[in-house]
Amino acid sequence: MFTPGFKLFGGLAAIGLLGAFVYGLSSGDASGPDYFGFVDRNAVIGLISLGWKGNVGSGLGFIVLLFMSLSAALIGGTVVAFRDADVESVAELGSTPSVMPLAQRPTSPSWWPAASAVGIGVLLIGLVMDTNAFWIIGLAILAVVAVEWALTAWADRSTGDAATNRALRDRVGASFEIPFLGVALGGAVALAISRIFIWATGSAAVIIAGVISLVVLAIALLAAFRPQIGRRTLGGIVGITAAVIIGLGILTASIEPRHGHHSEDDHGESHEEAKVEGE
Amino acid sequence: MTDLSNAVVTGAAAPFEPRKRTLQIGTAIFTAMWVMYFGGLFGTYVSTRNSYNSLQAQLEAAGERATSWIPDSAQVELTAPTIMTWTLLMSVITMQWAVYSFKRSDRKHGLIALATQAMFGAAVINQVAFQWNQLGLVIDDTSGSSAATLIYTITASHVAMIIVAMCLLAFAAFRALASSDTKDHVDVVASAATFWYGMVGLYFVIWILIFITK
Repeated sequence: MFTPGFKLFGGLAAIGLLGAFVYGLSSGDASGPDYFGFVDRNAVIGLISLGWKGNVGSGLGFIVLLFMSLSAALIGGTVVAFRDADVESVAELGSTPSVMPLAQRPTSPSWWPAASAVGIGVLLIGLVMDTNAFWIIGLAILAVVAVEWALTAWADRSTGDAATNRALRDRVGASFEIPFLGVALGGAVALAISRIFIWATGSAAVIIAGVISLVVLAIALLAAFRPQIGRRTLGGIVGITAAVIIGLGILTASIEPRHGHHSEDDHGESHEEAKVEGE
Repeated sequence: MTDLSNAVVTGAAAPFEPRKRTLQIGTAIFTAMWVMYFGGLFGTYVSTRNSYNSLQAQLEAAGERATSWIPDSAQVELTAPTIMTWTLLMSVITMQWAVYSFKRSDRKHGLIALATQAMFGAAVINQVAFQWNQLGLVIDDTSGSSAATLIYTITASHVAMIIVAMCLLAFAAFRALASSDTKDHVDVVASAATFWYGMVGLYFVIWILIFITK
């Protein structure tokens, strides 16, 4: 008769109501002969009338416990009315019990809601701090999430088989994900190399450029002359190389250049120093 | 698109299955969250008001000047809150009209009911804005009373709840427009109704707690 959900929330509602009354009585004026308020007519009237008349002791605890009871009663009433979300109750709601409304099958957990929360967080931080980089990155994250989430949602509704849906999603997604990620990776590597060159300057930059060129050439030769090493291995080598270059780019961007500074202030200072030396 | 992919991917299970009543349960939990939130606000309001009034009574007994919980400069009229209460009570009937129409596949009446419902919601928001202007409560009041802050917090939170309820109505209307049979979406409009009734009930408490007992 009573569903497990109702037993849980009904019990919580009862405890909340009882707690509100006990709290209302015990937090009232406990001095004198009306200790505990059981013989205090005002306290009893106050509790029965929910504070409209009389005294309910501390209002905060009484109201919070009362509303906890109300909230639990609302959920408990709903779960017992709908038999803990049972399918048959849907049929009872409609006039044709044999035909139940259809809904999408449960899908596998998705990271996109969490990713969108990150995007909104970064966007808000950027707007609050008035930092362009942050809110642009936030917008970019949200744009990517919108596309990917829509694609995943479409694929999830395609069939009732999760593996087939994943394959369908990958087949459609690969047509734009791979070019997009390729361009993004190429851009990140190019940016990282430029940071390394700015840090190195002079002949050191030439040496680093030579080393990077040799690495790229070596990977290309490996791919051309040893095709049997496999796509996964080759992908791993390219990935590790790109990660190392990007890592070095971030490192060199965060530290001082090897020879002097490039800012206007520094140029100004060096001019002045040169003038002093000339004098 | 879904049908096309079904046709292409042969042998796979159908993408849909009989719907469960998770929407109603979820909406009940969502409504309970709002009820609990307002419970905290009401508790804070009553507790702060009682403490303030006790302090003022002590000051008065000591012969010092006491100030009222709601500053004398504020104008708390009952007309607007009472009209809002009656408007919301009427909206309970139109909400049920919408559920009734959806259940009987009556799209036209369902949409008219939802539009009327949205009109009631907009009217209440309009009244709240009017009342905020009429109240003349200063939020950074220097008398030491937190009445303005709490009243604005509670009433603005309720406006937010009305806006959420109207979004749910819009969603139900969209489903009605997009569907061939509104009967398939009774659970959507019934869930919106649950939230709406919760919102109406909470305003009833606001009406008594803030504007009648002050």
